Amino acid sequence: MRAGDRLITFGGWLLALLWVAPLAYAIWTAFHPSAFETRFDLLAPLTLHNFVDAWGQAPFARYFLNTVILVTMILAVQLVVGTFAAFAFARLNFPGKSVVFSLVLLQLMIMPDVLLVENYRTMRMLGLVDTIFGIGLPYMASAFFIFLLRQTFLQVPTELDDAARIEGASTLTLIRRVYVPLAKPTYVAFGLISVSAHWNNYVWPLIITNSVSARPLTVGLSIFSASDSGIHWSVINAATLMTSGPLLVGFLLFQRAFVQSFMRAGIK
Amino acid sequence: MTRVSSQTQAAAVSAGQPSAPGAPGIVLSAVSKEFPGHTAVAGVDVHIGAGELTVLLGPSGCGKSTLLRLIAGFETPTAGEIAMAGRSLGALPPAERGIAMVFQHYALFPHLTVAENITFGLSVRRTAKAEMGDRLMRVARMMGLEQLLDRKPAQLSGGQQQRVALARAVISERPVCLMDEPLSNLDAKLRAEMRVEIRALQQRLGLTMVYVTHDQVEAMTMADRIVLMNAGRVEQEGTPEDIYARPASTFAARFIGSPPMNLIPAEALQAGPAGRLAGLRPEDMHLADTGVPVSVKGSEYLGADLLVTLDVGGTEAVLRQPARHGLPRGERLHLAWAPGALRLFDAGSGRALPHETTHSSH
Repeated sequence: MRAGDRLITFGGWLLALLWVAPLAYAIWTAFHPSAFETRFDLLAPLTLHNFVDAWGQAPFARYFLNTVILVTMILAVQLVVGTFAAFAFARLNFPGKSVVFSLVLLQLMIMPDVLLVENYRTMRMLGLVDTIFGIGLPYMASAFFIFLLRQTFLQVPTELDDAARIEGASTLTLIRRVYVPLAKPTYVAFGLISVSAHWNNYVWPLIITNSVSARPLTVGLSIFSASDSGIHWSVINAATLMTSGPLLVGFLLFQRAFVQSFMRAGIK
Repeated sequence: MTRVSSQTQAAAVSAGQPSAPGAPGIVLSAVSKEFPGHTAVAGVDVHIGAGELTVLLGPSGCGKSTLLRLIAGFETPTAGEIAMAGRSLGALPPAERGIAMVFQHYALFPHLTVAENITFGLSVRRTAKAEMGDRLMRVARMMGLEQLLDRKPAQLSGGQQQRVALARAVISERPVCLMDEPLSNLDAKLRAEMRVEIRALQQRLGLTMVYVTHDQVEAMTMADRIVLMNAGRVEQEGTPEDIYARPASTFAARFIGSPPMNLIPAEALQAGPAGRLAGLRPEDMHLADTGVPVSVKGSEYLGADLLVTLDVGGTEAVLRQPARHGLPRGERLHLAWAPGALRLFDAGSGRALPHETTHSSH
């Protein structure tokens, strides 16, 4: 028993170290001159020069803006669409409900990457190639969220529906004042998943964008680090830290709330 | 229109006067409700008196809750008509029927405070803030909830949650209140207290109340009228005294009373021909020196009373007697009963037979 506990603790530390090593290396190189890229000297001079360099060498401000717009837009539409869809699947009766719901479930089982080419064709047809809206559109109806939220809504006692209806609440009021507040942990948990997934999404934005005005951070960063000016790990790592920084800081700040939300929403 | 009536109601409540004139009666005519595969309510005619507390009583699955949901408007009847104050309700949505409802599990919104729960309906209907506050304070005082207004439902005891649910019904100032087994989640002591409290509230506000329960004690203690239901039909309708003294069927005889009415083949009591059942309430029987021979099978001591289980010609019967008389001794005992207490039922249909003078052996 004791030995087992120790093994688990050891495993935990090992995984944590493996996970944090690249991050630690990135932080080390980003804050030191390029001479210390592979030399770990505790007395090495600290500098912010790498960040200034990176910021100046590529339009990161624009990339940031693009990513923020993209992530916000996707999340907002996902939440609205998901709320209505989940409520309909959980509480309303309409013809073809089970067929439509199995189509939604089907979407859960298809890897988005399989659809890259088909999605590109669709976006071209819609004239949305190289737009932020075009990056977001394929992800706006999240089957995962609809399913997750439907399960949460199903746990709301129907007695609450009746109580709200007898007081004169319309379906919209019922959703807004009863269902949404009761599903708050699910919204928070999914919000985190969605933001981090789309903040970090790379392949699809790479394919669909080809100009600075639409490119998100991930694509911008990769183009920046692949530039033919030679590889400066310090500058690249500074840029990497900049791009992933907001998510990291956000997670550290709201860690407890996030973990609680995950536990309550039942995502593991 | 609702506005005007709710204001007169408010005036009546604040003046501490009963608001009975506003409370309508409800008439159900040949109401049926079929769900795929089964009939929940089959041709029910019920008259719910204005300002009265009517209890829909019956075992689980008898259709009493469905009937309540039909009155509330959550379900529409497959056939028949429901009218309130002489006006057919048709497919009127629940919110426009002028009814409030208290649910079995209280249906309090877990994310709202007590105050927000109570005023939920008012805020949905966009009542002015000031009026909302006034009404909240008045109802909170009435229900003894002033100290709890900022709590969440999860921080309340069962009895307090029940009070909040009642307060939410009362604050709406609607003249009809529907209750779906509101006390079934409380312990016995609290249940007894709330019975009295709900009955007092109903009488004070002059509400027309329809109260669903499977507990015959609740029905007997609270009701002006009981509608006893079985298998989707009305078995018997009447005052508690009526139903207790003159059950219309063996079902009513066995459902009301604790312990229930004894049903003994009439010939075993020499009270009628074969094919009849004689019904006798436990307290109407006593042991005597002469009469129908019986033997004692056991007894149960209840403090004030002693319940004696007898063998009457092969049928078990329970007799209630004051405990201080003690368990009778002797092998050869005889059973007698109060004159006029015996009811006869047809053994086949279970319906009560017209009252006739029965030849008691006493």
